[in-house]
Amino acid sequence: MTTHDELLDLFFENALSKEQEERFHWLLKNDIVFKEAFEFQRTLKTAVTLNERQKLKESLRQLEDDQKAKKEKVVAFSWKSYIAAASIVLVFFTAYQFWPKANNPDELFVENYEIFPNLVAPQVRGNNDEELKQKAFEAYEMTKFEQAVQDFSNLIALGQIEYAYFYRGQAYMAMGQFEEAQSDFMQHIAMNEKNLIVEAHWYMGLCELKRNHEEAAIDHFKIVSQSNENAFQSQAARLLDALRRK
Amino acid sequence: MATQTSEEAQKIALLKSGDSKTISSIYMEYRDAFGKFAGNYRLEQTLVLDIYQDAVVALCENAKKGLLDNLKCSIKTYLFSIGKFMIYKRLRTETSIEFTDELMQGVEIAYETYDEDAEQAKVHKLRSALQSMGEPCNTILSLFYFEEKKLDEIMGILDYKNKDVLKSQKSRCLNKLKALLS
Repeated sequence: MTTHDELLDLFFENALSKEQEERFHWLLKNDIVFKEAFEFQRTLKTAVTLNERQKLKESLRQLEDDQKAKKEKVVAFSWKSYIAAASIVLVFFTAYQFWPKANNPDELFVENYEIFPNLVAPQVRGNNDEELKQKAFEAYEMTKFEQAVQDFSNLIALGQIEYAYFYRGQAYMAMGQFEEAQSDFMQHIAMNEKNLIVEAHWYMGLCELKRNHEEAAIDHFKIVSQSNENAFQSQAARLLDALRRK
Repeated sequence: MATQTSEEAQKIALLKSGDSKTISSIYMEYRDAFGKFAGNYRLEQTLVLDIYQDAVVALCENAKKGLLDNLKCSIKTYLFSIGKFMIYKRLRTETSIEFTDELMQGVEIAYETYDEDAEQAKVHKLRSALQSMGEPCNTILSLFYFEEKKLDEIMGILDYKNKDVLKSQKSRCLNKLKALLS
């Protein structure tokens, strides 16, 4: 017999047989767990659709802005060519100064990646948990990343998760283990309410970039560039420009 | 009834693959014509542009879903029909005027619209949570729920050898999302 998950998949594939459809509707009426699973996926479909539409619409708005900017440049050039020429030189100079010099994902990664500093380690030794925390951050600062991963994992096992996922992610990233790093940054976002959330998005974006998932990287950099309270805002905006120019 | 030219079929194939150059080129090709057409409805220019962008988004979405594979009219006609549908929808919302016309004659448009103001809190939360998801979840969820691809098709696209592996990966993605929401 078809499982509940299979029935849901078939529903969203629009491929239920008549018999399956009858069972599907019966379950919706009589099985609350099935109904909840269905409602979740139906809401998810709406959310995924709206996100995809928003992404595409933003790219069209960007195209519109680019076209507008091009037209304005042409008008300005014919009107006051000397001023325009000087502006163009200035634009190029500014671009040279501030824009990333490459648009290859690997090169962009190298230009933008820098390990996040230790902003957490306790200064004074205390109980065992505090000692473990200090040990983890010491290993981290001394670039003993394998040891740091081990120590942060121990902290997590003890339930001392504050910042542990974020910095274990940093250690993984420093060792080139980007998938593990991303998973930790995601955990950090899921578990902390305020601190280092935008920063976690920044590093998730860099991991996606390194793994050649440029669209996913763009999503994270957008979040960073739109948030005012972080050190990576302008860097993220420049990266977005570089990726869009590709 | 007209059938697709090979050039149009090629454009539709590129739209299906999400080719950004093709999207930009179609957007620019019909932009001014749509503006003139929409001028008949005495709409503000910014609103017309917004509707045109929504229409292009709908065109791309339906191409991805395979709804344009056997299109019986030109891309332009299809795009303008969606645009007209959207103009009427806005006018109906804003003016409460009832329209009885032959708007969709000859062109079948399937496009679900959502009232964003009435969007549930759950949708909002899920939209944010989705932005924290990495790969392969983003791609799998987008292919299944947005592009409405069947799991068998997704297997081919993402080069999975075993459907059960894909199903359990999809299931892990849903669990991750639930964890992010809890």
